[in-house]
Amino acid sequence: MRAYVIRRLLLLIPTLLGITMVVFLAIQSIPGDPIEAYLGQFYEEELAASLRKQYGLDKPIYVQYVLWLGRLARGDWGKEVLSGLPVLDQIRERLPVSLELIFGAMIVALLVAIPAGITSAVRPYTASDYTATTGAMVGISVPEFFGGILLVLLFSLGLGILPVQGFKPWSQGAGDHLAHMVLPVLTLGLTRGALLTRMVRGCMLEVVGQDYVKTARAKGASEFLVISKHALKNAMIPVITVLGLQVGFLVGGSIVVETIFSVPGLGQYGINAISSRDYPAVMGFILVSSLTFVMANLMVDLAYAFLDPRIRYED
Amino acid sequence: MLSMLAAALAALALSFGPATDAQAAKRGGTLRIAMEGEAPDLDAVKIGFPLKVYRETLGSGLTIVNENFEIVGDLAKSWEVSEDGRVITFTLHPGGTYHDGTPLDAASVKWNLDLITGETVPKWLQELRKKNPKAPSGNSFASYLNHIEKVAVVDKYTVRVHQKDIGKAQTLDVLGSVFSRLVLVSPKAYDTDIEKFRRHPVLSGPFKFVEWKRNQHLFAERHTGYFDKSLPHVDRIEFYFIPDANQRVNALIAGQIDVVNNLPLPLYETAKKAPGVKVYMGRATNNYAFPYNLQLPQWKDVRVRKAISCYGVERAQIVKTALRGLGQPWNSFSPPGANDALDLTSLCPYDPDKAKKLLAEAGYGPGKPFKFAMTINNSDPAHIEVAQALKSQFAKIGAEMDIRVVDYATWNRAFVAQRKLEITLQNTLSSLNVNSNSHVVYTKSKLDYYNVKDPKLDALIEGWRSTIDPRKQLEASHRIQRYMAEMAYYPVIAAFPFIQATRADVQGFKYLGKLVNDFRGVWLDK
Repeated sequence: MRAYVIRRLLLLIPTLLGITMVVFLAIQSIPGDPIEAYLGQFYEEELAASLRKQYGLDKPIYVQYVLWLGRLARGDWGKEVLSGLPVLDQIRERLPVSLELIFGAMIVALLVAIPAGITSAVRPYTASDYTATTGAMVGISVPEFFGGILLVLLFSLGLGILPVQGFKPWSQGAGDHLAHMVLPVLTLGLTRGALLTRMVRGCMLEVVGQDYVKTARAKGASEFLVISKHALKNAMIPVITVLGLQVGFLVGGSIVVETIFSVPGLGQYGINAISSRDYPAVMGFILVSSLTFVMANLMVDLAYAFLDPRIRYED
Repeated sequence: MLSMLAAALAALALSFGPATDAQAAKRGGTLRIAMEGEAPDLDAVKIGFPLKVYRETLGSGLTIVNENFEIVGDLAKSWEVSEDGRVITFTLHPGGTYHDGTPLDAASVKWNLDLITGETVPKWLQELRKKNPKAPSGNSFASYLNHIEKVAVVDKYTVRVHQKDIGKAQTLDVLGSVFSRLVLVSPKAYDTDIEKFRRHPVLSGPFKFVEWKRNQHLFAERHTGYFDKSLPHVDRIEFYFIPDANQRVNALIAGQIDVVNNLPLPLYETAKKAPGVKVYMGRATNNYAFPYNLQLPQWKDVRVRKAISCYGVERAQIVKTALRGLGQPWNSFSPPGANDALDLTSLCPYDPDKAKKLLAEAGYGPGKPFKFAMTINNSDPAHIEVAQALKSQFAKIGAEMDIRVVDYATWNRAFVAQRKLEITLQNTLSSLNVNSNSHVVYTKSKLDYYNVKDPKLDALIEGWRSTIDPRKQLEASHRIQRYMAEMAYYPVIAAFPFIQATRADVQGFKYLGKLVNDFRGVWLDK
């Protein structure tokens, strides 16, 4: 198990280097000049040239990459072009908000998907199965921006029990904070939950027909024990794979949700950075999003080892 | 004795004058305003929207615009203009301070005006220029006030501004509203640490900066050192950044906020029908223009310009559909809500046959259609609808238009800085008069991004800027508007008003279009 974990961690190094290279080259290939964006109406060729020199933008791309990597390693992620604020400070402030949103959405997704998927699988082609699968289809089909608006109409304007938008930090009271996070988390989580419901249903259907499940039943184990101990654990391996991949979609979905609900997370930061051509901020955003995705997949790999003993004993 | 009595009566009248509203006004509470976005920083000598809203709420200037779109005093109690218009002497209200306690006096006003003209170079810029002599000051007002020759302190509360002949007519406008109202910065705070100032501005307005949380909110509280002790009525103003327009309106309907500062046209009906919401829509001071680049060869031919911008556009149809019937067809540089509007729409009736004929005369026809690309930005949902309507109308006259959509930053760079767009769509800023937006066509301005480059037009604009006689100014304005229409320099589809909405319990709200933001008199009837 330890060797497996160490090997997975070592594999992170080339992966991360690859990410930095792709991020750097992707930003370089975007049409447009950050100095022009910065100067706007004050653009003059001579002034732009002196600023390019000042920011090292006149050097060859590979030199710029190495310099950037060095600064990155020292914790200098650059400053936002427009505001002059350190990018790393902004990311530090926003990342916990996005992680809370993503983590909350994953919990909602699992809370929806596991019971609905299991119910659907153990009673296939019944009313409860049709309800769950129809609900899942609707959930998958409704985009986040539309789902968010529907939830606002219901809970904020209709029932008046949750705020329309906004964010309150924990320091202003847990109740207020959670009230503001409910709708964004639900918006993001329900769509993912719908997708996972179908996944859990499919995997469970496959597993409940296996011999070891039949054996467990034949040995007189209760239905609850059969499903929760024997079937679910095995059905969860592909579900966890999909869950890991869903982190990428959750990062993407958080851009939309954070914009709709004015949640000051990383997604909102990224979209603002992209629309204002703030390259250091864009690079920081993409880098952290990629790292989140890589770390989520690392966790998935480690979870495999926990769920499937064959993986950890291979080493 | 009599004079003392008269003075006492005058003082009494003054204290009761503005109090008609103030008597009814309740003091206290927090006004929550929904904004579409925030500015990269809060440097008060920069221009732009929505920065304008924050700087004008926290700041104060010498003059301001009232509900009748007249220039009235703000920090200036009164002013005198010399007969030739070249000298303006401002008398300030005594007793005011900047937010850091620096006295608001004539010396500080001079410092501020010298900062704009470049006479004063702040310490931070001096340091920066030691490393990079071309380092920009970021001061956007120089283009509007570079006709100021000298500023002199007469006494503690009197300051005198000496000006060149050309430009003297626009000083009060620029100080009061045009493009972006000049607000005063604390010399002490601005001089040394610009980075700190840009995040924590120290101004002199009715509300003092408290906190700015990026992408979340900006809070300000009553400034006790504001010269008018009866204002503002509310204790605190909170701006919330809500980029999604639907959510701004939802938050207003739910009572989570009190004011939507900028209500997009498509949401007008929703807000109007919502219970407990008041919608404000006044004079049409904004133009919806589709400027083309006059330095590109294809647009140099006036016949082409007239075919495209005059006879080839069915304005009424675009107003009815894309603009939800909220604008009015228009074809003049000054919008109908401006004080010097001249309606020239009838000069451009929709006449596709005439447009086709003009294009044919210019050498275009079925075998060689006139082709061009319109680049629009994605900041306003109406842009794409208007662009599509134009495309189909131009197709009827045999012109082929491509539509390209880019983000706002790219658009702004290509349109304003690089001037390389062929044709685009633009919601102009509110205009008080023809001079308000004349910088876009005036060659000597750094911001003449319409690329007209016509000495005759420059001379006409200078004619307006050189006279303070209202009658002559109006004549000059009409000459400018007629000439621009005749040359088809300024393609405009319609004029429309700026729309705002508040909760019904928000009282004393001044609708000033997009010209000025003034929340001093607002109070909450809760």
